[in-house]
Amino acid sequence: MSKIIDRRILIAEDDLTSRLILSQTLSKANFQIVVANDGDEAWHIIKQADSPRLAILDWMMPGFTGLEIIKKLQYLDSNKHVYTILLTSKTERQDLIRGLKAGADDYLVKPYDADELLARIEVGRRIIQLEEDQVSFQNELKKYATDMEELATDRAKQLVHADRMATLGLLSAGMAHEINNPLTFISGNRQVLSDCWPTIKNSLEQDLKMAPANSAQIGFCLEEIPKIINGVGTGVSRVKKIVDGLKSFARQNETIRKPSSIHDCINQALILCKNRLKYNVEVITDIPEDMPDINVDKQQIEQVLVNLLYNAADAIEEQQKQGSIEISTRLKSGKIEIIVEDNGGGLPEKILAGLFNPFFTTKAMDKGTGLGLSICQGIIEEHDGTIRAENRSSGGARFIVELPLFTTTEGATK
Amino acid sequence: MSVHILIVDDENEICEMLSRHFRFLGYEVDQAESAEQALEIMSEKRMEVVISDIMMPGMLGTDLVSAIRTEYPMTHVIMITGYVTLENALTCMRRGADTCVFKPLEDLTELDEAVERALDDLRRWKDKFLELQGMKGGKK
Repeated sequence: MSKIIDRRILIAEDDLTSRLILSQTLSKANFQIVVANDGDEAWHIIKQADSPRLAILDWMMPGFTGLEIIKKLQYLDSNKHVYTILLTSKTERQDLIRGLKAGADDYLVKPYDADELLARIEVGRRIIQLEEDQVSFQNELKKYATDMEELATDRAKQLVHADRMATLGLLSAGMAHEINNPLTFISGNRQVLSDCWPTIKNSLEQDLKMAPANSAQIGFCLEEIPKIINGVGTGVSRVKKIVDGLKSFARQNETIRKPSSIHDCINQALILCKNRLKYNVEVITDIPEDMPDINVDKQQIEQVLVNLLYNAADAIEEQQKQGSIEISTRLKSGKIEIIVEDNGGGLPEKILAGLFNPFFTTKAMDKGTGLGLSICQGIIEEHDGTIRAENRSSGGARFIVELPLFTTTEGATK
Repeated sequence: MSVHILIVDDENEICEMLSRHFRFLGYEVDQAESAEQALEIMSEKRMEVVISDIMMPGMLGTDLVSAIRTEYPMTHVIMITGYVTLENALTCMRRGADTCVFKPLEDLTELDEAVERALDDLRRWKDKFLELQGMKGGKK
């Protein structure tokens, strides 16, 4: 929107009589008059940020002359244009040309006709209005350009990210498969060794009786080998869990909705986050066993929960304290609500609005991409659900995911 | 009777490990690194049970099942796979594999039980054949 220009006019005239006539003429025409008695005062007023946009300057006056003021105006560091009408008793054609060349917008030769003066002022106001319109149009354009640029950057980043995620998916599937084979023979050999152990143990015990001199080493073997076998077993289980995690990450691109138990989703998410949560976070769950199924892509819902759990853990870590995360579910008018809350620092009021925007992050560069919650929102909305965030009155943040319950009619159509 | 098991996997370490495991349990074990090699061994030696991987260079494990079902109907096939997909499992079942065990075989018991079931089945058939031949069924 362009701004409506005001009706203020600066009059710079040293001659009292001329000044009064001019003031009266303009006042009658409803203009507000700002008066300067000489060139210096006029210049002082023009320099101010909120000076009138239109100035009638006498050519000959003490201090700066009108012509000087007009010249100085060219170098005034302001993007605001002051429309100047030079008032002169000079009638030489050469003088007028000099005035206009110096930068005057218009001129009036004394004695002037009042109607002509007002008509020329109207011309000035039209031009000022045009300038205003152009400035606001340019500003609007600039804003559009900035918005478009931002949008394009966001889109590009999203595409790069999506591409990266897809590559990462393939990579994880490949890695899972590659790890699986060596894991199979490590795990199998451990079991073979474990099966052989009783035989080895027996003969070691015999040896111990026969040759007590070697008792220290034999004793060591009898003591340590079962622990070694167990240790390898624990390692295998842990690697297997990682491989399972990689596999489910790799599978998440295909959206397959099935009636699923929210209980399973939460438990799987907790397993995936176990490592992140084990040091400073206590997890409290309140999930009724008899919750009805939801029709979801389990992997995707797990991904959302993992994201919320990681954010909660980060929030707790930022406070450098031991904290707790509570996960609960409840039924609410045909929907299931999954609530993840933490007792970290909570969400500052000013960030709540942009929380789900892509690339929104409060975390350090190496910690978050700012995409997590926007992906979560995407997934939940894809499932016809909603996700929102709020602060707990007791401190910390609360995220609430709402998902529709599985119904048989839905199951038949999907 | 002595029971022969053939292990087929392109990953030698897995062959070795499974061979070790079943030899410890008292079976006679052969190893093949490919489905082609497996069929070659089987043309010379009767196998009660074949344990085979699915994804292998050359002939796939799922094709090996089909070949065995046609040529050696008495041989039981147990599949092991690290490439766990519904499609793979269904193909194994349709082509007549006994079962499909998923790697990383965190616990070999599932595989042991599958072998046991296969052998029980073979013993029952054997008893029936002996009975039909008018001989006394060797109850083992």
